[in-house]
Amino acid sequence: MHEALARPNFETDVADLNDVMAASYGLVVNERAFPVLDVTVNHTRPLRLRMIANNWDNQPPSVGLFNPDGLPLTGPIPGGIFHPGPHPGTGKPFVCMRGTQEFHTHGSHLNESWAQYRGQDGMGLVGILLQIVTGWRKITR
Amino acid sequence: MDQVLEKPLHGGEEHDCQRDVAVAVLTPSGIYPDEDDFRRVAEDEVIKTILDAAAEKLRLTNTADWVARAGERELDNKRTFREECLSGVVEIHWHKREGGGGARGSCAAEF
Repeated sequence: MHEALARPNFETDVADLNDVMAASYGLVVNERAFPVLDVTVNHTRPLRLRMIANNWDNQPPSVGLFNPDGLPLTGPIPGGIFHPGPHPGTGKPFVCMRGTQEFHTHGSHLNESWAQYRGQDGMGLVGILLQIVTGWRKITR
Repeated sequence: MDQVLEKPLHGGEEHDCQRDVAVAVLTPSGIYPDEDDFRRVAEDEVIKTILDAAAEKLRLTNTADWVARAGERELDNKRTFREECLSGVVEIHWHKREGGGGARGSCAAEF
């Protein structure tokens, strides 16, 4: 997808993550500029998520897991939708959840295409982010 | 979120034993009733009624698999605010349930 198409899609989507929403979910927005949405989840065990959506929404975002300082996530991967990996494409831990590039490019899920979810209510960038955030809060509380 | 309420949440009417709840619903598509306000509802209101109102205002058409939570707790939408022990100022987080393979699911088979 050409950037001229992906950028407005991205910007429209991430606008829904306003200050009120971020505060309620305990999120700090570190970066919100195409194609990156980078947030820190303030929680018992903090997590930084870096979503890269170069081809939004033809393709789902790639989601990276980091420590709050931006270095790769250390410590045990807690399970649930969080997989220790390594992902065959990235070689890293990943979020095994529909709506992430790592899920839809994984050999186990090639029959579950992104096209099934694209455009659904709740499957925009913020929707995917909030699902991951909730998954993290549930598994690390 | 600033709370804008015309009357205090509790009391205000001499014989009014009904307590109100100030509720906001936060979804990936926006906030109901809006970013600055809460909606006042009776404790005996069914939660789903408010979620339906939020869906209508935010033009959400497919929320069948969405989950409402207050804090870390998942809510039963068919119950009232009182039955779910919700009172005062309540922020409901409402979005699709996270789903997929998971670490113990089919992704695990390849590792």
